[in-house]
Amino acid sequence: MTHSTLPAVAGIGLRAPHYRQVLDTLPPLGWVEVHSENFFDGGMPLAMLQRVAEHYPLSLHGVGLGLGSLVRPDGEHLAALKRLVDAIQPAAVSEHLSFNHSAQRYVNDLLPIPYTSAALEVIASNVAETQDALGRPVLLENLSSYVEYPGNEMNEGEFLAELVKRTGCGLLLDVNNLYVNGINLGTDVQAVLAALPAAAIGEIHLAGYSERDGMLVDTHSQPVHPGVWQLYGQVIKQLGPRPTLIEWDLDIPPLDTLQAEAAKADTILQGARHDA
Amino acid sequence: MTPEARWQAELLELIARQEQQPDDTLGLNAAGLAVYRNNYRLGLMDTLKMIYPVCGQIVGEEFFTGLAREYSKRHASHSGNLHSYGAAFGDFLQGFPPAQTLPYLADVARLEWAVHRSYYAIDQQPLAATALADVHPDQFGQLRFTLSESSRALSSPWPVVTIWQGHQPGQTLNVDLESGGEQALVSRHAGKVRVQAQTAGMAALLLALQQGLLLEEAAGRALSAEAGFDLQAGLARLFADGLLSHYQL
Repeated sequence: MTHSTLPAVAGIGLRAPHYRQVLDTLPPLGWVEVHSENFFDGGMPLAMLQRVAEHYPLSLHGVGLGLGSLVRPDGEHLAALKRLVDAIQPAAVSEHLSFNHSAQRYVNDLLPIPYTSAALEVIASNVAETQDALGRPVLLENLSSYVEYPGNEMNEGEFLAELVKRTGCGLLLDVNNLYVNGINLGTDVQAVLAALPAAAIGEIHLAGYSERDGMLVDTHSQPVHPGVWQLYGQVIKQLGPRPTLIEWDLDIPPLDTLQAEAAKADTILQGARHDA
Repeated sequence: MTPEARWQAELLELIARQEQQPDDTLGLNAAGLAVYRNNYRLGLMDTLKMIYPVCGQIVGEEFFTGLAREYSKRHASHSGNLHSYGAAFGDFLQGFPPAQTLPYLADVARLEWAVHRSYYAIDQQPLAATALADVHPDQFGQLRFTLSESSRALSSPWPVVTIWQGHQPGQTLNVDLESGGEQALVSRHAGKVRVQAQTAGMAALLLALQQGLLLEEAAGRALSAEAGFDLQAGLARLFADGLLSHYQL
């Protein structure tokens, strides 16, 4: 089964301020992605999303399942995701390789997991359980991290590669996340890239970080930075064209700003098509 | 517990309990932990701001930010879905001394929570009156109805519906706080959430059904709350407005 049926062009993250405009004017967008949790259950949000899905290839991107939590996935959350996936039949379903809860506590964030073989056992079983429940593969996204488990046995790319091997999941490569980890934590960006199985990469994310106390924080609040465009160019040259998303979640600009960012990605994607 | 699971559990505690000092063995850099602590606090506070816009307008942004900060310190998140955070904000306001000067604020918050839940409630097939075709009229009193997930009744000693409506976009607030209580019904129609004041009888009927009482008990409450309450019409409205999802006999 394929990981994603998104077209290998640029799309945008669709957020609440643009719902109306997109549905009223149906601008040319390669595809759109939304956060799954905003459409759990039903009502107006789900009805709106069903209309969007009639016009654009759609990707569901989860921010709350926390598959890297070293406990079993939250059954209620997974059931709600399944209802949504069944109702929308999206072109792709993705989650983050991150954790957000223990048996006692939730923190609604994308927290970095230990990259160890013991963690791999548990997380591979969480990913498999999720895919079984949804009846389709998910794409797992690499993370922007600000702290690290002190006993890591492998890098994030090697960990993701193991998950692909064990569960048949796909990958969502967030180039901005990789870039900020390189700066913040000294992550060897090229080593992570080299470890990723290219065929499994079904989607790419691009976003803009902001700077806070010397840290590059993945705020999705800015245009994509030049260093990230450069790394993206390299990635696309190596992989060939892949569906690429412009994400913007804070200080969301007018829709045409997002479209202009998407056009830049499309230019790079077209270049790669030409070279191929 | 593996060392990995223990590290995850301790990191979660450290992010949520911002006064705690990290143990060196966790290998956490201070700037990195600060990023997560900041995200955590602001994330919960922003969630409250989105759910409680009328409370925000009533107390002003600065005071609301303070309330949200205090609430987020006392109430952890229990779900990966932030839309379920903030349920107890009304109860918190009721017991929080700095909010006591606005005694109606807690009920406004409870109403806003009901609106928020209604908006995100699951889609359900409303119960049709014809579904009761097989029930013998002698048994009607023994019926137990379930309100649909998007419907909720709420009673307040304050004019909460008038206050809430006066803070909607384009509305002007014209309220006499001494005018007495109001009973609210929150329901959803074609995706839009509606907030309406109810008569005492209709409110008593809805509240009793919401508590899971039998129809005969609910009817008794409605009739004692409002002399001359038209029970027939009240019941017809439950079906016509699609306020019910199930029944049990």
